[in-house]
Formats: sequence, C-alpha cells, structure tokens
Amino acid sequence: MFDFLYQKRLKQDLERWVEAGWVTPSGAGEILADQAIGDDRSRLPMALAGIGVVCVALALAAFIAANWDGIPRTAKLIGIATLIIGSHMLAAFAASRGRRGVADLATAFATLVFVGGMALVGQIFHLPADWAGGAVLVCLGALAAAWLTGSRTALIVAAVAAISWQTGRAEPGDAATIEGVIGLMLLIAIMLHPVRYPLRVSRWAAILLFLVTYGRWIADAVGANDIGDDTTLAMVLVGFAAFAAVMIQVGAVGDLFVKWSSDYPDRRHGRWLMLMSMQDFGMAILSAILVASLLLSGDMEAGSLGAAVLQAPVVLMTGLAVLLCAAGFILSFKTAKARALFGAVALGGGAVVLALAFANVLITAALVFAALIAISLLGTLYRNHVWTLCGYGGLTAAALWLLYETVGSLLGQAVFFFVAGLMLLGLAYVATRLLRRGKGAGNPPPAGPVQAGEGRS
Amino acid sequence: MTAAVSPHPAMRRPVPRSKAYLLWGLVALLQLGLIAVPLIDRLQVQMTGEEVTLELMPIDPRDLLRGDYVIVNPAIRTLPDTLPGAEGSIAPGETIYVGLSAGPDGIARPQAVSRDRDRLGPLAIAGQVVDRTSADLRIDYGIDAFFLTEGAGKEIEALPADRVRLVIALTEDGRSLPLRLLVDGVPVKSDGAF
Repeated sequence: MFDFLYQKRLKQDLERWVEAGWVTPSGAGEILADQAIGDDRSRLPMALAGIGVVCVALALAAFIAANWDGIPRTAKLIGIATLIIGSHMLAAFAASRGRRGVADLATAFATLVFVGGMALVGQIFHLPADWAGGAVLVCLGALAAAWLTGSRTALIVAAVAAISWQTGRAEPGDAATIEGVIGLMLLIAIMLHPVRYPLRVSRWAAILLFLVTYGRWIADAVGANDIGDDTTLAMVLVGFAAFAAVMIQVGAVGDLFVKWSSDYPDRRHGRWLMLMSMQDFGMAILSAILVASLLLSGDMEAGSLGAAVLQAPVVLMTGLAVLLCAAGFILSFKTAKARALFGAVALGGGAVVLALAFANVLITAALVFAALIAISLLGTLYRNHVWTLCGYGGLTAAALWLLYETVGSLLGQAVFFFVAGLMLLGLAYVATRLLRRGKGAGNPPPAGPVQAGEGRS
Repeated sequence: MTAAVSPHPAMRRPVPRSKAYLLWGLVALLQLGLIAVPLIDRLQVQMTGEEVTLELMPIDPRDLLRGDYVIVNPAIRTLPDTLPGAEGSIAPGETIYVGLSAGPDGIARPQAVSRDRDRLGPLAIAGQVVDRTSADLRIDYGIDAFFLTEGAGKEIEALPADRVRLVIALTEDGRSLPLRLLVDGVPVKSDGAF
C-alpha cells in the first residue's frame, strides 16, 4: 500500500520537477519505467516467509512444551540437533547462491530451533525456571549467528533475549556491577550490528535494548542505595530526558562534525540510519517525559530533584547531554537549522528539570507547552513526520490534562486559555519568521552531510 | 519515520561456497555447544549421583516453553533454626550445604547445615539461602520443577502430599537433579533423563 502511495506521489513530483527543469523529461521517463518494474523489490514474499518461519518455530516450541512421550527424549534431542545443522546448511547453500534473504530466514529458523533445544534440555532435566540464565545463553547463540553470518533476524532474537535478561535477572541492586558489565557488552554487540548490517526492525530492537539497559541501570542504583519513591521518580524523569537528549543530539553533532571535517559519508550508510532512528526514538521519549513531568511533578516532595541528580546514572547521562548540546551549539554557529535542534532539545531537557525544581503547575505547563511546540516546529523544519507527530501527541495529552485540571474553576480555565493562547501566538510569529527567512534565502540544502532527521519519509 | 533500506548490492553477492559452509557450520557448532553446556552438567549429576528420596508438596503451574510441571516443594526447603549450623550468621544469597540422612522409611531428612561441605556426612545437598526469619531458613535447591506430559500436572496436584515423593540424584559435591516422582512408592511419569 505504501509503495502505491509513494509511486503516486512520485508521479506528481516528477511533473513539477520536469517543469522546474531539475529533471529531464527522458530522465523522468526512466524513473517511472524503473518504478513500474518494481516487483522484484517487493518485500511481501520475504515478509510472508518470515511469518511462516515464526509460525513453524512456534509449532516446534509448543510440541516440546507438550512433552509428548511418544518420541523418546534422545530422539527429540537428535531431532533438534539435526534441525539446527540442517537449517544452517540450507542457509549456507542459499548464501552461496546469492539468496541472502533466504539465508537470513534459514539462520533465524535455526536460531529459534536452538531456543527450543535449550527449553528441551531444561525440560528433560527438570531445570528450575531460570529465564535470565536461559536468556543469556539464547542471546549468545543468536549473537554468534548474527555476527558470523550477518543475519539481521538472528540479531532481533538476540535483542529480545537480551531485553528478557535485563528485565528478569537478579533483583535490582544485587550483583549490579558484574551484570552491568555483561549488559554493557551485550548492548555494544547488539547496537553495532545494525550499523554494519542495516535493517529498520533490528535498529529498533537495538535501541529498545539501549532503553531497557539504561532503565535497568537506574533500577540498580535505586536498589543499591535504597532510594525513596519521589527521588526514584525524579531519577526516571531527569535520567530519561537526558537519555533522549543524548539520542537526539549524538547524530546531529556527528553530522556537524563530518561537515567541518569535510568528510562526507555515504548517506545510506548504516551508522547514519542508526543515528536517525535514535533521533526518532529520542524525540518520542522526550515528548512522553515532558507530559509525564507535567502530570507528576506537582505531587513530588521538595528536594527529590537534588537527590536524584546526584545518582550516577542521572549525573553521567545529564553531563553527556549537556556536553553534546554545548558541542552542537559551537559546531552549528553557521547553521541556524541545527541550532534550532539543539535549542529545542535544551528547552525540552530544561523544562523537565525546572518542572521538578519549581513544582508549580503554571510554570511547568508553560515550559512543557513551549518545549512540545518547539518539537512540533522542529519536525516541520526538518520535514520529519515522526517528530511532528511526537510534538502534536504530547501537546494533545498535555492540553487535555490541563483542561481536566481546570474544569470547575472558570478563573483557572481563563488562565489556562490565556497562557496557552499567548504562547501559541508567540510561537506562530517565531515560526513564520523562521520559515520566511529560510524561503527568502532559497533554503539551499546543505551539500554533502546528512542534516539530522532531514529528507526522510 | 526512517526510510526503507533496500539491500545493499554487496549483500546480494554470493558468499563463496567454502566460506559459507564454514561460517554457518561454525554457528551450528556454537549453538549446539551452548545447548550441551547444561546437558553435560546434568548428565554428570545423573551418572555420578546417589539416589535420595525426599518428601514434597506438589503444585501445578505451566511453563511457557517447557509445558506442564509440578512445583516440587521439598520438606527440606524450610529448615528450623534449631538445626545444628542453622543458627548464626547465614544470610540470604549464601550457598550452603544441608547434610541429609535417610530414616527407616527411606526418606532423607536434614541433619545439619554448613557453609563447608567437608563438615557434613556422605549425603549433603547444596542450596542457596532465599530468606531467613527468626525461626527458620528457606533454601532453594534448584530442584523445584518436575516436567510432565500435558495435563498430568493436575492429577499429581490432586494427590495427598504424603503419598508423593521425589527421587533425586545427589553428587558428592552437593549438586542435585530430580529423577523420578513416586506415588505410594511407585514411579509415575517421566523418569530420569534418559
């Protein structure tokens, strides 16, 4: 369906580009002819095959779980081993014929059978339910498949196993150091894979693991230091705001760095795709944290913020976010568009901190609204629909909550609508000036480096 | 939303046949090796361990991947503070050894507790202290699950606790493995590993 919409839009754009002289009529014809072929690029067969592989693997898992005694256990184990070897050999055969998609699916199937094999051994020997221990072994097996063969689907299995391990391992605070190191190593191995072998879903899985790993770090700090509820909440809000700021800014700083070093990387390269996905996730997290700050900051005890920012996960992530912001402002002294990004992130992060510091609903609402509108505008400026959607979604949630809070008091509603109206008018003026200036300057696209979040659908 | 990534041309290039079989063969070996790690350890316990019968309390749950099982809650899971060695500074998280001795009815019961295996008699089972109250110690021996064919868990759960026993394999160094579930002294369902 999306391919169809893209082709329809492409035809409309090509007419305009031909009229403007940017594309020759014959070039436009070539592009349309190329699009008309299209069927060999369809992902539908592989998507269906992927779902089929998962279904067969689920059938195998259910068969193992049934513990049917019609087949001797030795035969079951040999069967599992044969399936693993056979699937990997099929993958090797497909890869040697250049059928990398089939090879990837066969590798994923073998890895899922490997998970079934682990379960079978646990069943035969009545091992107690140890999800964390099993998850580590599954993660290692899947990582081996992902890195040795370049399998993207095996990487997704590894990421899911690592997330299971992070959420199911020892109680927060127990054995935090050694398990923290293991978690960091798994995170690095999983985050680097989509950079080398790009795939959107594996990028998302790796970023989710990053998110869970950081959350686990906060949970370990809370468990080890016996921290109270309000301080924990402040740690989560400030920590994840800083985490989001880092995710958004690291790609933008990278863009500026390569721009100034005159080393323009390939736009399609995996590392840039990864950084862009991180920016999208960062914007979504920052928007959610802004709304959460508005909802929760009023009930928190004074001093929670001070205690929270002294904790290692918060202070280190905040320090990194501030450093990246400062570096971004310095590197973007000639790039207004990039400055807008760093400004919006600084506003968002600052809004969360100030909301917790003042715990005043009026100040908090003003700051949160300003930050969410800035995110929406940034989405428009960068033509990034995800960012715009994050900003709009956050604004809707925040406005509904504020309206709910002021229902019953006409004076309260008057203040709410007055402040919201003034802010929107002010921001509309700023946005108009900003966009008009860009148009007046011809809005030339920057040569070479990818501007963060730019030009993506 | 990030743009869809079409496969890089290099990814469609065939992998040389020998290299492909080497790489995927290596992955198969690694994955089979990871499966073999718990397999070998458990087989060693089964082969070298001595059979010991324990009292238990079965409860029927279901494991997502491994199917029906009964939680076997052996009577030795909770040790009274009056047991030699149970008093003192043993804390949750510690690994301890519980000395066992079989009574006239053939059931092994705890005799003493120690951090040092050598201070106990020929039969001693290793466990981790889960909790400590003023009156007792709660120990996890890693033998709390016994897997059964689908639907059998409910039958076992319905039986009176004093009719059900668990036979385990117990090695000299304290490792243990559930072998058989007995009802009135007769083995029911999955016996041992192989």
